[in-house]
Amino acid sequence: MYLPSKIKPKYLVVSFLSIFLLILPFKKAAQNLFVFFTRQLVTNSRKYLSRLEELEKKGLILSLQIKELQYLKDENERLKKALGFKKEKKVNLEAVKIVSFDPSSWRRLVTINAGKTRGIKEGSSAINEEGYLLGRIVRIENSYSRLILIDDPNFSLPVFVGKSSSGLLCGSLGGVKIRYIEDGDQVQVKDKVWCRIAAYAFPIYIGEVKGIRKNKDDLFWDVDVRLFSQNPLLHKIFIVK
Amino acid sequence: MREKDCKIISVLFVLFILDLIKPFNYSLRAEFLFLGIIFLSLNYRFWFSFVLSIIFGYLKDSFGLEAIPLNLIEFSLFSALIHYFLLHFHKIPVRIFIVFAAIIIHIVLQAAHIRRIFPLFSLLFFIHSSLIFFLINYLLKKWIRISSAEYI
Repeated sequence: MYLPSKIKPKYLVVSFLSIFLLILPFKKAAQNLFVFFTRQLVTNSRKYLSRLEELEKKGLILSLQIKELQYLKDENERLKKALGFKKEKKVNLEAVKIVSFDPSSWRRLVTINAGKTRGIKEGSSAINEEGYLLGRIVRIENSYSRLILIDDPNFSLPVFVGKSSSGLLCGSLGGVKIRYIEDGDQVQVKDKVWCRIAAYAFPIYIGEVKGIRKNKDDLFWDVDVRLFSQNPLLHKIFIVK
Repeated sequence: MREKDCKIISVLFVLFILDLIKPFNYSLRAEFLFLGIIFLSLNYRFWFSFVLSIIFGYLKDSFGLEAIPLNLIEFSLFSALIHYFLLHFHKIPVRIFIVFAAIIIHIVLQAAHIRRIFPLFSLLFFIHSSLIFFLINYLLKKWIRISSAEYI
């Protein structure tokens, strides 16, 4: 009698063995085939892997740079606090008009139509509509103030010249000069003359260098300046609050 | 008060306003009120010109920032000195000399006051002031009807 349940396992084993024996001589070929296909797969993935590694590396470098910048920013804030610098704030300007001039020809003083009631303070700087310095408030009353112009003989202001030099800007009736410059050889014609207002970080430009000279026995250089804002009547005046 | 006195007072006020508003900005280097005071001292009686010099000198000082009333002292001194000269000298060249001398002394006083000398500015001031004075003199004498020999 045929009993398939008993015979089946035997036949299965035999059939597996026979297949195995048949494949055995072709093992190497099969292996080669296997390696061939897997090599293709591995080669392509290696490219992607290396690209991935490159991107990961770049990402890591960028994140480190961000951390460094954040650290520098925090350090900058700490140093600013330590040195007592005020926080940068938005510029606050007050538009004013000239009411009258000083009757003397030897002074460059004007009276403007703004005073304490409009928040003007003594020592505030005046600029024109292009941002160039015009003068400084020297006296305030409730509704008017006196503004000394930059070319008044009694006007003086510490200024910077170019990138590295500094001196004292003095008015001289129609023009200005910078005195007490130590390193005049660093100064060149057309270098910008500028100053800083205490509450703000941006520079305020005044003019440019017109000429440089030094007498034999002098310690310092004198610099002539060509002002950017010559005629206050032709400009709008803004007081920096 | 005579008509001529009222006219000169109004003229001095106008010259003072011109100094305040500076219609030519700083390109015209002259002080109209100062030139008006010279004209007043040359053509009017002593006490009248002396008092007006003090008043307008004080007015000019009140619009400045200086602690010393320089213009009050200067104008009154000029008025007194010009009248002193006119007591002894009456000819026209002397009057011209007085005008030039007054302008030069004004330049020297202002330079001493601010403690700085501006040669080019001073020269231009002298030239502009001299020309404008002669213009004012010519126009005002016609309007106020002052003759050359007349001393009011």
